[in-house]
Amino acid sequence: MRDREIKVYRPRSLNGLLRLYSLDPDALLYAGGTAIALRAAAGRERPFRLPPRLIMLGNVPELGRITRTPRHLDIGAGVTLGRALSTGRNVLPAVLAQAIASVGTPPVRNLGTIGGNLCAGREDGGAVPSALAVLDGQVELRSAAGARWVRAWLAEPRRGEVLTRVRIPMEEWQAQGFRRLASGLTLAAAARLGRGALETLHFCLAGSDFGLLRSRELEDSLKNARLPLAPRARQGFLRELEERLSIPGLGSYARATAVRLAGWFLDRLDEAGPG
Amino acid sequence: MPSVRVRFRVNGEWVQAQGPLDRRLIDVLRQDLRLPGPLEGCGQGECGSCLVLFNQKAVNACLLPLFAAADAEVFTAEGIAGARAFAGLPGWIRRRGLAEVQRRCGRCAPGMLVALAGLYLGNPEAEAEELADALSGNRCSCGTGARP
Repeated sequence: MRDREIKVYRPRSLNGLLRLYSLDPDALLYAGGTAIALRAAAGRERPFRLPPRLIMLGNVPELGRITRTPRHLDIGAGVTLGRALSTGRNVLPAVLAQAIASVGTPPVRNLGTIGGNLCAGREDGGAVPSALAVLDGQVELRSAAGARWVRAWLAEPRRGEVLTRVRIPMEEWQAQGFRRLASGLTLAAAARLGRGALETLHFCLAGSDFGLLRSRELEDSLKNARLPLAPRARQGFLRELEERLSIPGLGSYARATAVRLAGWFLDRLDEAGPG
Repeated sequence: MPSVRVRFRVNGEWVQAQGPLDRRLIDVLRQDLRLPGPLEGCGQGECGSCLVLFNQKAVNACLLPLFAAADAEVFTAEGIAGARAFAGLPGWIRRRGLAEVQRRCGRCAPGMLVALAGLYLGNPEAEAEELADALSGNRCSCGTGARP
């Protein structure tokens, strides 16, 4: 292939990016590039398998913004994981901060972006998507034709669409928890407590064997349960979770570990409750 | 393989480099510019041997393709050692009780210096926990030093 056939576009505005991408939807959107590099690390001879047309996202200011209103926090898709973390614990919900901190090392997080993690980083175990799932995060997908919002953990841009930002509702959670095991099994959870009871529970498990598991029905089974949880309510929740994890390919050890993780968060709820 | 030509700053000097789309920044720094500071280690962003400051942030040069460095400002460990902007860095490291970094076999020292320089630029008032976190991407491969 000749040099003149390579195109590396560097748009300087979101409109410019959308226009370019509509003209060349087969071009690769390139932000931090960590997913590409890490995926290809096994084949050391050609670490970066790239198409000859690339659109660099680093110079698009709209993708690098973090804005906060009383109702929500918007994080541009081009914001690096490291920068998102540095916004501070008062801004970033704890469960999301812990999820981001579990991705890679600090230098990798200085390259990798929120948008890249959602679009291309699925094999890392789903830490960030699971945290966004419990926070009811959404992402904006834009194309030259318009924009739509979808749930953050279901972010799959269509041809010509660009993930531009993540929106997280600013809600108060009295208990938040995040655990990620070496196996990649991940738990993210958040709960609102009031008057000695569990008002709302958001609970998500993620693993490379089963993707993301979040069940409103399961969460609602503990709605308004008194704290500390009655043994029957606790056991019922964990039993129901175990049944939902009866997924082909998911071994009994992984299933038992996931249930133990869930038990860990229920213990935290008991500690956070009035006691 | 298609090739690109890129201009960027390394240790304060503008340089131009060329190579196929899959050429990595670490290869340019070591082979073309003969800078020994960034070392090839794991090649997948885990050991921190290849760290460079890239637009003032410590990143793994083994994960960066050359084309992504266009117009960027890159500092390697040797550049940090000689740059005025980092004149206060050795004292800052000493004050934080990290002189131990300099007593290791040397293999991980350039990467650790870059990681600390990145932290120094971003947050000179960093707490011990932040120091430990900044160095959590640097692996001691010889075993002579415990992590600070």
